[in-house]
Amino acid sequence: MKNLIPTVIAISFAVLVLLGFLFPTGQFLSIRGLLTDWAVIVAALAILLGILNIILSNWDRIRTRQKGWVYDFITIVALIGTILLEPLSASGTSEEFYTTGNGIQTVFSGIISATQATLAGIAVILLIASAGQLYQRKREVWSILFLASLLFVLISWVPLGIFGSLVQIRDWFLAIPVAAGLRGLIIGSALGILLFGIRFLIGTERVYEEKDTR
Amino acid sequence: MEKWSAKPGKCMIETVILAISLIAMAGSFLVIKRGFNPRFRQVRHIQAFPTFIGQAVEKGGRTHLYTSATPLVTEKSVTTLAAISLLDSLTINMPVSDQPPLFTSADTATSFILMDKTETIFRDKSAYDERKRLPVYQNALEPMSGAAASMSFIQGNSIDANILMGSIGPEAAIMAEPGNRINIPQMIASDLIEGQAASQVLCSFSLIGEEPFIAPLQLKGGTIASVTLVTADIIRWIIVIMIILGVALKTIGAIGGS
Repeated sequence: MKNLIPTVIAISFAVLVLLGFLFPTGQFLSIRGLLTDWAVIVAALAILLGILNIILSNWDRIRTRQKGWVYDFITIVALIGTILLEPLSASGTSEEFYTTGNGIQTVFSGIISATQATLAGIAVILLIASAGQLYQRKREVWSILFLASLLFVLISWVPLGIFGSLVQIRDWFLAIPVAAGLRGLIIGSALGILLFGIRFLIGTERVYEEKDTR
Repeated sequence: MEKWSAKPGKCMIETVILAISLIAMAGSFLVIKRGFNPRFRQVRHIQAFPTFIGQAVEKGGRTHLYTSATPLVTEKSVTTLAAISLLDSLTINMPVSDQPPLFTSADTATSFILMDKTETIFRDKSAYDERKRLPVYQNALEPMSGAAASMSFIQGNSIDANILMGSIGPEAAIMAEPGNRINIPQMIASDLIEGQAASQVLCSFSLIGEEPFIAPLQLKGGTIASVTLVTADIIRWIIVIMIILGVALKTIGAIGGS
């Protein structure tokens, strides 16, 4: 009984949302909208709890003077500072957030976007370096192919104008073999998602279930 | 309610695909119940990975498990749920290690589910201590920051195995790099192409395509797992036939048109 009630609730709500998606008319659509709105409210509350969780876990590390506690302190100061920045800098309208020169906008474009762009750049460099390491570690057909494809695409993007025919080969390479491979992987993922969703709907996959182990 | 509206006819294909899948699943269930013993295409590596985790546990090592930053209220939530299901299968023996596993996520709702799951796993192994904090951390509020935070987690906690699951994009490269440097077994199970590319290069184990969703079933076993795997094979063949038919019809159309 302990697990039956959550299972029935989860499956019923999942079926109602699915029906609202497959038959987006009348009552089905209204119920889907209502349930999705509830989910958004719960998620918003979860974010507030998450922020509290981040503050508490960082405070714990500062209190016990763990290695790198200064970074935890900076995290808390940045978090509280950003939260306070909004009421201090905005006039209260949602449009204000997107205005250039607004405090929160400056934090986003000057710190968060810049940091994310840097990390994305590092990710590319790491991939190139790792492809080289993979070739040294495992000299098999696939690692050679990976490294060769990577170098070829990178070289063909060099804007020197001396790789005229390379550009055409690259375009063909990206449009045919690469696109075919990508579609295969995407179809595979979609198949997995479909089957996992069905297992969830028929109640054989219960990630929300609490096992009674006491 | 206008924001949720869609054209009714647009969902016909989805309804047909869902109906075919349900019929295939019901058919597979009936055939397996009558004693048919199917052979599946095994997910590469997945059978070997618990052995590597077992070795980390035996030598008292610590495992880091990261679940993606995808919010649970988006269409990608199924990937996060599949990751939690995979975590259920992989973490069975971890609490008995001298060093408990570390769970991190960059999504708040996922972090709370992880806390609940971790408590269950620890209670199951009689390793739960109410006075101690569960080793579950929400390390950020979005993917790239989560990746950066995970780097310091891996470097600063003597990690012996690293598992990254869910919708993980190019940040997978950043998250797997510290583990790659100290040569520990790592697994990335992602549904995003960028994450899958990074996993191929940086990890000893990578789950691509439908593998992140099917791997938990192969680890758990049982009738329902067999039914799902047979259904996956049936639908895969339907897709292959549809693609070949589409190519043939388009070619015939092109020849006829010229």
